[in-house]
Amino acid sequence: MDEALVKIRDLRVSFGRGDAKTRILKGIDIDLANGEILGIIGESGSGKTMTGLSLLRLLPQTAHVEAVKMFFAGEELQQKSGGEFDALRGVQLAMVFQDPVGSFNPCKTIGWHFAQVLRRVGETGELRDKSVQLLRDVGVKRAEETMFLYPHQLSGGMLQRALIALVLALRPKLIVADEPTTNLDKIVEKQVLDLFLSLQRRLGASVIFVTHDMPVAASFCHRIAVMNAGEIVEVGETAQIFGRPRHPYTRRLIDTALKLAGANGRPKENQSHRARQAARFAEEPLYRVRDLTISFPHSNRHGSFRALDGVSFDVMPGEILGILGESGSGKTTLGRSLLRLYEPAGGRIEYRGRDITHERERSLRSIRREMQMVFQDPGGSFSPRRTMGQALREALAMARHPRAELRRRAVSLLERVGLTAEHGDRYAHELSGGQLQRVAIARAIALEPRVIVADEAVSKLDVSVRAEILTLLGDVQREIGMAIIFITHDLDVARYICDRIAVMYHGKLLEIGHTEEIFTRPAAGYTQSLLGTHQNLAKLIGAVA
Amino acid sequence: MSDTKVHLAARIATADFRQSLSRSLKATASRLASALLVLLVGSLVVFLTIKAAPGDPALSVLGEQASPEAIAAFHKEHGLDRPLAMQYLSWLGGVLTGDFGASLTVAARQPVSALLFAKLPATLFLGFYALFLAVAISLLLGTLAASQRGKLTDTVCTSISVFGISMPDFWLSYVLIYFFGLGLGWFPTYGYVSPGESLVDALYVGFLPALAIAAPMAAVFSRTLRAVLIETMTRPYVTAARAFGLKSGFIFLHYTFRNALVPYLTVIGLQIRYILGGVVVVERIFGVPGVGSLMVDGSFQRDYPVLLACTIVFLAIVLLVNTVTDSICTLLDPRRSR
Repeated sequence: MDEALVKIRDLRVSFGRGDAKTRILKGIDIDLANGEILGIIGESGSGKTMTGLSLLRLLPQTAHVEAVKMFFAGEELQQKSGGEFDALRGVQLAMVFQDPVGSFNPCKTIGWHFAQVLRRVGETGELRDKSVQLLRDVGVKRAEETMFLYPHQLSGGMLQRALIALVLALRPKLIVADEPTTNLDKIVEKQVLDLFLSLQRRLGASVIFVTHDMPVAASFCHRIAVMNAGEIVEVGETAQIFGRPRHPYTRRLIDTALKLAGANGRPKENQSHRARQAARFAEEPLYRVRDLTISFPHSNRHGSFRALDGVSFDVMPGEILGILGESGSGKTTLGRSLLRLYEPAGGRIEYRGRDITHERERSLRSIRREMQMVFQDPGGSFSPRRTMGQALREALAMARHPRAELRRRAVSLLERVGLTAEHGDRYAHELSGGQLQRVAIARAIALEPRVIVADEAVSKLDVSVRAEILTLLGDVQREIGMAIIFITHDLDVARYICDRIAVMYHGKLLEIGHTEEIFTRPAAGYTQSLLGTHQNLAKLIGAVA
Repeated sequence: MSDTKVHLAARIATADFRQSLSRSLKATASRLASALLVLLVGSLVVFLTIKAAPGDPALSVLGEQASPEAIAAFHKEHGLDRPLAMQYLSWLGGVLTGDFGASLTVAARQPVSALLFAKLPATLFLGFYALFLAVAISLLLGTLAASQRGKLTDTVCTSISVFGISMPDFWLSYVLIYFFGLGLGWFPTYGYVSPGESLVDALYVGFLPALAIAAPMAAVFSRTLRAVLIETMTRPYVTAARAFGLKSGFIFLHYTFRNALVPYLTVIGLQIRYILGGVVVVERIFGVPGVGSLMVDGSFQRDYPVLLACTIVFLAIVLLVNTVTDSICTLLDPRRSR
């Protein structure tokens, strides 16, 4: 770590002017040495992404950027004209984005992208051979074939590899990586991170690594900058930040992450005891699913695709059953099929002793009132033209509450989920993600359901908010006693809240058992490798500190 | 070693292309089949609508004072006294063998197919000329407006578009005649030259009528193109391309414009019917010997065979153009062609 590659002093970014001016970055200093990996951690809205984009001059034209100093490789970036900056971007400064699927031109093949980038850096001759070699370097096995494929034909992990290969071709001095693995599955994330690290070593490039994932930051970065509300509150060596955080915000961020990681999670004995209790009292399981198969017609030549393949399990009243698996493993399909949103191709679903496998829509409607869903994207599940109060009153009216009572009940629901009556007058865009998810839970319990299917209900929330929502969900469950089917890909979250866990893989249910059993003695090989990728933050901190 | 690999790659590519081509051919075939069905249903609807409208061709041929006997004789001669179902089926049978029947009013009872054959080329030429102008104008205005968003150029382009949308084509025809024909004397204000005779003259003489038809279309197309381009510019792959340092002109052409093309073409396909509607009116103003005058006269005189044939031909053109644009869109969008 000799001289500084990047030196930024007092970087400010704002949108709008005068009264309508919103300050996104409020004076940021960044120093980055050659070959160093600097992690920027913080919650959504803290300005992490804006920092990266402003360095590459990729902010929208409406943004107002100013800085006292913005040095890159000994040159002042602010003095560069548009043309000079274009020559720098890509070749010396490169960026890897969060969404690998969206980063590719959907109309062009992977090979086309490689040809453009190679031509950009002045390569000539057999571009195809060079592209194939680059793809091989990032571990793509059928590289020749991949060249002719379109982005929509490849998985997210594969595309992120291709994107990294493209950056490799540019041989930049600085790579800004904006949540490059957030959209990937855990097992793939590990592979991509390892790949990224070896690429960084090979090029000797410096990296600004933007992430909200504490374990990833702890295991990957040399130094960490913690951002909150447009400011860097603390910057230091990784060991210091995680071992001896100085700023209260950093401490809180790490504490909540640790809490989720189960280092001092809520006691599990009570729960499983309660579940067993409930199971004994209610002899009848809430759901009895046997050999359930759901298939979707495929536009491809394969005929049909089996999203669920012979799945059998029971759901007990009042238990929290986790469905754990990677994307595409069929966990969402499983959750939705419990609400009979799909017509099963085989097997049986019994709900409270009643066969609903092929129940008609009309009679399903009354049963579905007892089943509620909480979705991943809280913003998308509320009408933008209705206030939260209206949404709740609508749900209450459906549950046949007396008209005169609606307003009072809605307020008490809001208070139950930790909001106030004042939130009832707001629209969806006026609430944060966490607040919206609270309203979503309020709406779900308004109908006094017997079961709630929570599909990745906390995945899009920040760590601190995530813990709050999980606690709320647990409290509400204890109070009302409904069962929760908790769909997640996050091992920490699953371990934190679930009584039992079912592990899904390629549409099959590999194993089901009590949470601690699954985590301590996983039976299936897949579960073992899934747990193997799991980086426990507490252990990591122990290692770095 | 590398040779065999390139070979393999090329084979995969050709196989892939062949597969997607055969798939899109299949899709086109099924689209054509459904278009034929629409045509059949459409012909029945048109037939019934025309029959339901008040009026009698006998009166327009024989005069208002014609005796009931003469009218009955006219009806009998042309088969108008038969039940509606019979009339439709016999007409349909004729159409399938290429016989659209004979006109009731035009002198010498010319076969409708001969009338169409004589008049259709002028209409088709004018229609395609107008379509070409509309697309060319919209490419210019839409691209300019999108790339200069919020600036003076954008405002000017938007104003031109709003002007174009709000002007009726018949009114615009007279304005064009007044300024460019009579005032400046740049263009002739009347007549038609077939492109078969002289393409240059045809384009020159047909310019004002084509422009009058194209103006409202061009306005709609440019607004669409502007909106789609602006939407595409915010896509993450455009930012990613900029982060790779690709040239902005290249990004515009291959990323932004390329991805905006499919929605733009879809709108063009949907708007074709307005061009045909415009042709009918504008032809009469500029004295172009096209289907338009045939259609207008036909509807005034209740000349059922002529009216039916013209409507069916227009319907067929609209369906054909839509099938073609659909197929092009499928070919252009790799996500759709599989």
